[in-house]
Amino acid sequence: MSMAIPYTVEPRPDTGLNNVKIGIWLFLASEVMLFGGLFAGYIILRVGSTDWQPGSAFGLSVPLAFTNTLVLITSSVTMVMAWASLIRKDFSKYRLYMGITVLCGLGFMVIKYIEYTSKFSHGYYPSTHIFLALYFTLTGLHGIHVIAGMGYNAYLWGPGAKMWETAPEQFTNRVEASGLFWHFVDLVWIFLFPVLYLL
Amino acid sequence: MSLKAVHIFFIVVATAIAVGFGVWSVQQVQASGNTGDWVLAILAILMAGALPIYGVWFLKKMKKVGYV
Repeated sequence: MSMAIPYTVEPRPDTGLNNVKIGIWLFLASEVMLFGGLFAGYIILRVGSTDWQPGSAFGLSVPLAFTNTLVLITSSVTMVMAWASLIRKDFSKYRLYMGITVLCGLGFMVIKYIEYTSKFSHGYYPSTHIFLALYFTLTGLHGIHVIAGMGYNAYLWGPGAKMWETAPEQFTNRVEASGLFWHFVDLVWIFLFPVLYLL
Repeated sequence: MSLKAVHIFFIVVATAIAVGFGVWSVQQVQASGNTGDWVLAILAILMAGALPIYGVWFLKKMKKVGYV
């Protein structure tokens, strides 16, 4: 006897949403609290610091950060295009857009690696200054999220895509949930960019 | 809230950031006259113009998809 998990596709009568969407939004709510706490910490430490230095004092590269912003915005567009392709039942387009999304995530991490190694080569570590402690904590945690999102998207592009043949609607919902997470990660960067590089 | 609604919100925030970054870059250009800052300012202004156009195109393309 097989037991199907309920409400993976059809909405629950009480919430009006399927369980995938409820689950991802609950998770994103916890993520907002996590990053919200760190942003609050940034404000308190910055306001209270008597020796505050902006990112430019430590050689943070605005052009590199802006390139990363463009890369992540592009990845959000391709992510949503991948989902839209599944709605239109165009699996080959989905593969293309999801592949570009994964590559954009990889590009972001390569640029982040260049930035980190540049800081380390100049002797800048989290213990050097309060700004760098905040910079490495915020961008490090964000980077872990990018890797996680990229990993799951790569799974949905590769082995996870087999579900399209057996349960296309459920697979489309999974891609949408992954897209919601990816947009959250991109939004965090949209806030990190001015906070760490421009202000 | 569906990915469509979140994407629209994202495009609005990204446009605001592009405008803000454009203003910041122009201020840098005025202060230093650096060619690199000019490139950033132009890119930011292009981005601030392109994102709303994309947003409208996206809304038209996804007309049949709901916001929930």
